[in-house]
Amino acid sequence: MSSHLNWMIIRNNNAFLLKKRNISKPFSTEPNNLTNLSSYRYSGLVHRKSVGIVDTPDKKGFTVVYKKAKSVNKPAKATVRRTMKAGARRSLHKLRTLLTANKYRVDLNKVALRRASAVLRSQKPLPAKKIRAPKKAD
Amino acid sequence: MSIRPVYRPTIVKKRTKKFIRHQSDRYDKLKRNWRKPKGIDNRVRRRFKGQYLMPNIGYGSNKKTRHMLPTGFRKVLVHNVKELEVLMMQNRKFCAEIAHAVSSKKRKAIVERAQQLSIRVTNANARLRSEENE
Amino acid sequence: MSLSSARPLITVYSEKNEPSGETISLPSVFKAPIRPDVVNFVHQQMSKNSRQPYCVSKEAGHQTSAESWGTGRAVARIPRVRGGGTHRSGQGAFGNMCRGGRMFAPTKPWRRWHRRINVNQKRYALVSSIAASGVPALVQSKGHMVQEVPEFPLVVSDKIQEYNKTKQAVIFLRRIKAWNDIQKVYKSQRFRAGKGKMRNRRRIQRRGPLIIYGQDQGLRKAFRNIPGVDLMNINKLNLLKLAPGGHVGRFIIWTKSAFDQLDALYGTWRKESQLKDGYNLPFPKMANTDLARLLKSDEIRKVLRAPRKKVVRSVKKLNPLNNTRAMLRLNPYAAVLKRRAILTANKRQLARDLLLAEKRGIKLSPKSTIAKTQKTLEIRKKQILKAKAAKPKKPKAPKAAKPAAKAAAPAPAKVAAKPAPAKK
Repeated sequence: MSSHLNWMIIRNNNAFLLKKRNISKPFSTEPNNLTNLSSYRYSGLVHRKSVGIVDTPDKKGFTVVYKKAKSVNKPAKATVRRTMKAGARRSLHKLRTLLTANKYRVDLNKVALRRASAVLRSQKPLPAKKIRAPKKAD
Repeated sequence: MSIRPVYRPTIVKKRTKKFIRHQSDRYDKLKRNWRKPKGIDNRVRRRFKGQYLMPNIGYGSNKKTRHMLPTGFRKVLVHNVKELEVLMMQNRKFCAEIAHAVSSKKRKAIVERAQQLSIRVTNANARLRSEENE
Repeated sequence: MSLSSARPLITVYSEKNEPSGETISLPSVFKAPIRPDVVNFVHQQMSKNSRQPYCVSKEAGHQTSAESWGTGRAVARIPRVRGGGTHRSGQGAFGNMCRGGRMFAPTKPWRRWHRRINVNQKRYALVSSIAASGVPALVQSKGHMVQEVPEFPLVVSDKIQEYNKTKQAVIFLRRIKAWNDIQKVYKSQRFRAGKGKMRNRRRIQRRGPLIIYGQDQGLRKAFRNIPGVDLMNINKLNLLKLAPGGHVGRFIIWTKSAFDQLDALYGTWRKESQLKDGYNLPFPKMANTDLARLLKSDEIRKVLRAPRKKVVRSVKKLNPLNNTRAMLRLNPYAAVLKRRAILTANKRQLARDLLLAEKRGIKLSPKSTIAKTQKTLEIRKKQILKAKAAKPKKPKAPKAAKPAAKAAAPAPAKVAAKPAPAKK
């Protein structure tokens, strides 16, 4: 099964399609979709190789989920999870080498880095809220 | 600093007034909401001078700015945190609007997560006051 | 997809999710073309076959002796109920717009409720949906939770056919990692939205795995109480269950005896089906559906024209009468003409001013602009003459270096003139 054919079958109807009002391109909620957009390139289902980036459960760093191209028909064996917790600079570098070193979806390189850094940014503590001085009660 | 959109063109609205229904000023039974006149002699339909204007496709907005808020974002209705997560990578194109039926308790969770993901929420301040007063 | 592609071996798993050592080569059905359009069409037609006829009463709305009053009574010409002494008399009747009238186009029991479907089409749809059930991507896209399932297609040993307790069945589903899907069914149980609630379709839930077996030795009873699970005998495959909603990709668990029969049921392309008369699998329209690879192939590359990478921009035509640069490009001498025109104009203006002053008998103060320009012009003239005199005359010295002073005025024009013909 080629990914193109898969995409043609899935495209208009799947469990992860999320259409919203007044939005031209629908979203997609599937795992391994880096941009959450419903498109052939970013689809996490149809390709032999796909990358996903998620929070680690303890919210310190991110986990890279990718598929082994060889075991397409064996979902249990196909997914590989690698957790990266070594600080933003190192783990982003690690992610880049992971994707580019053996040419594993080079087209997703930029997006993967963007998502990883978005995940890392979301884990930072929020800036302290400015609290307005409460009005004195009359 | 609030999140800014990637692309913020000047939004041109070709018309900002509403189109109103012919003779809705004369009769209470006719609402102002636009209905196309269909009568054979209707002067609005025949586009006589000085009559109400009729909407047509020429009034449409530029595709690039259609449905765009004045901030340069397009809004996406969000019911829960999971739907918010979808906007994670689109946070400079789309902003979230929490659906009206969401309770203040869940709103808080959504607003907090949105802040972490730096997603703009149009109605982040809704249903806050009653909480603070307690 | 393609005929030539190798048929991999499928492992048969034991009820404990261990490879039992047995392998079956993948039945050809799984290589059959997947045609969502055919599946959708057949499903739609088939789902109509379980309908029960209904209609409104034939009499409804027609049980009066109404007759139109005709024109001249200043009322609508709709049939009106005869007689007097009751409110009903004189009211409109029959029409669909009337209270108590019949509906528009009353429904009739002889509507075409059921559909005949071509046998080959039905088989095509079945074959397609079976093929799709072997592709994890399609099964996942349907929302089945199959991330931990060991293999697609999932074949298990015949032992589960002998199960007769639901407890065994649950344990089996947990072991084979299909329980996630059941969990999703449990979570999805809810009331239907809308009017269906009052029409005996109150509760809804999503579909779970479909178990296809060779022989029922108690397995139906064991599994039937687990929500979402459907059961089917290999000899009675049903498209409505294989592709619910008309969309391919149901999660199917095969027992070994069922899986073994597939080749006999649908045939391989080399061999006809044994159980269906004169049937064989449909041929795919495209042998290779990998678009990226096709576009890269030499055969296609060869016949394609090279990409046009050069950007051709349109040139704007300029009016030389308005645009000086355009004029200079056409006529380099225009610079000289223009300059000379300005100079003579200035000179004339000065002369006129002087003359006017003389006529009026005004003595020009040395600070006035006219006097100033006159003075500067004189100074300049003197300087030029002086420079000329100072330069030693060297007529016909080296040919290359022209005397600069001599060429002072026409030189720029010449320089400008030279590149112009080269451009043309």
